Amino acid sequence: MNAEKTRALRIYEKMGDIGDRYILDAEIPAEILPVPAPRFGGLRRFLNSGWGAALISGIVALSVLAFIIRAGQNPPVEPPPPANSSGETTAPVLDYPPAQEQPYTIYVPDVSYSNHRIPVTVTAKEKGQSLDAPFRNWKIVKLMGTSDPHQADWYYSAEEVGAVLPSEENDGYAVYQEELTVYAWNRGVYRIYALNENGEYVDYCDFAFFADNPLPFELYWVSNGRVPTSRNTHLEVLFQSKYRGQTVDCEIQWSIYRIENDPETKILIGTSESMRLYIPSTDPDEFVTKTVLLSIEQATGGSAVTLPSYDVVYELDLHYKTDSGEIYDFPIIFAVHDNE
Amino acid sequence: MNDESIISLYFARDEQAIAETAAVYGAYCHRLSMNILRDEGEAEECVNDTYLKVWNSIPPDRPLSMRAYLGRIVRNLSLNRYKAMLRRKRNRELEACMLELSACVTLPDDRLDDLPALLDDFLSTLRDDERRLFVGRYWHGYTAESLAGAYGITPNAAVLRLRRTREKLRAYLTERGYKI
Repeated sequence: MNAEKTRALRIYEKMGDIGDRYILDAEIPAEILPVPAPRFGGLRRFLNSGWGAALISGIVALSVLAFIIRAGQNPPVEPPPPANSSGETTAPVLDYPPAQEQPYTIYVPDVSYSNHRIPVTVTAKEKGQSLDAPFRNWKIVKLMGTSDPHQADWYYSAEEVGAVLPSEENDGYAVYQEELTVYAWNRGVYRIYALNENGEYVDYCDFAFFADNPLPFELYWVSNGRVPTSRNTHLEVLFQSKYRGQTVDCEIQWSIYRIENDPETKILIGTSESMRLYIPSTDPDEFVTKTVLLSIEQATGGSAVTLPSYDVVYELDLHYKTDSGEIYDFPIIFAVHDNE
Repeated sequence: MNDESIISLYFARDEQAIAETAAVYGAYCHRLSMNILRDEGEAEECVNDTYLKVWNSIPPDRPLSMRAYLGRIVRNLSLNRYKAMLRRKRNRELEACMLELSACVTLPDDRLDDLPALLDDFLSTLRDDERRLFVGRYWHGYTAESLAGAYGITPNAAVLRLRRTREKLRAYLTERGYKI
């Protein structure tokens, strides 16, 4: 454990010695606490199934973490690993054909620590096209470095749904939404696949899981949440005020790192000069937003660096400096795609 | 059974004291331990260790509030166990919680023993809702989402209020000359 974490733990221990009255006053009665998703009941059921045992033996070998979905409604089921030519069951091998070959589009927004539910939206690509119930199973993998992008495999089972028909409400597109509840996250970039009954995937989407944002503004990737492509030398980030009527006025700086397979190891690519970000509010009832290009060249002192390759994971650390000179860091993790 | 009756059982060395403690406070202790350990088995062991510790410490101790007394013990035992299991398992939520708190504590390491008294004084300056969120997060270990659900606010609002309170704590300590 590093010095920062050791100190944090010590401070947390000291917090334990505050007065009884504050402890008692802040205790939340169990009956008004939100009910968390079950964490182990579903896992036990899963372990007791044949496929579960087979999968878990592999998962244990990889020290992979547990999973779960909605309480009581969506118990994990056997994963659908495809059989190879000799009929043996293997771990699914997923390749990455161009997105346009897939009949549907999946979208998952980035998720922060404070929300362990992943809202998944599947949309038909064509107007009038039905979604024909292929979305019973989901697979989530964590992208780590380049050598082994499938470090963590989690399977989920959604409720069986019938065909989802196009609706006027969605401008004639068929849209299916599902919310997966997860447990045991690590900060990073994940890829979610929707699998059909044969264990083949119909689309995938990447999303980041990150720490709660301590900055006085919200950050979003531009392009509907999709992360940058390898062709980019600029990262397009949308800054938005956290509350209505707020003027965002601060100094920001950013560093870009490449994440290695060991998530604790990251290699600094470059750090930018600091820059003033000023987004004045003109309406007390509105949020202010501004798209800012964070140039990798700025971070590398003018060197033309193209984020190199396919499915490499990077971290953008945004540093925000307060008026009194204190700096807050907020890491954004993203994977680079080749052809979006 | 109320605290006084349970404590009487401990003083009488009646083992029913543990059963009554578990009946009244078992779920609370388990929840506190789970907030730190995120592991059912470890939390269960910690709660059992808590009962043993209470059995050995009452008497001579005579706590004014069993809830606070048990909470403090189970929190300490769970943190000790968390340190022991750090190499093989981490609770990222707890780490985030600890780092949030430590980022606003400007006391040098050799003055950290002063922190509980300073926190007591700081907490007395806060509004009730601010204080409950702060202690709920950094003493009880609830997530911002759980706190938001319990207090009927959005998770974003909970996160924002916690951040403002941490900034107040930082300012409170800085004003008193504590700087790293």
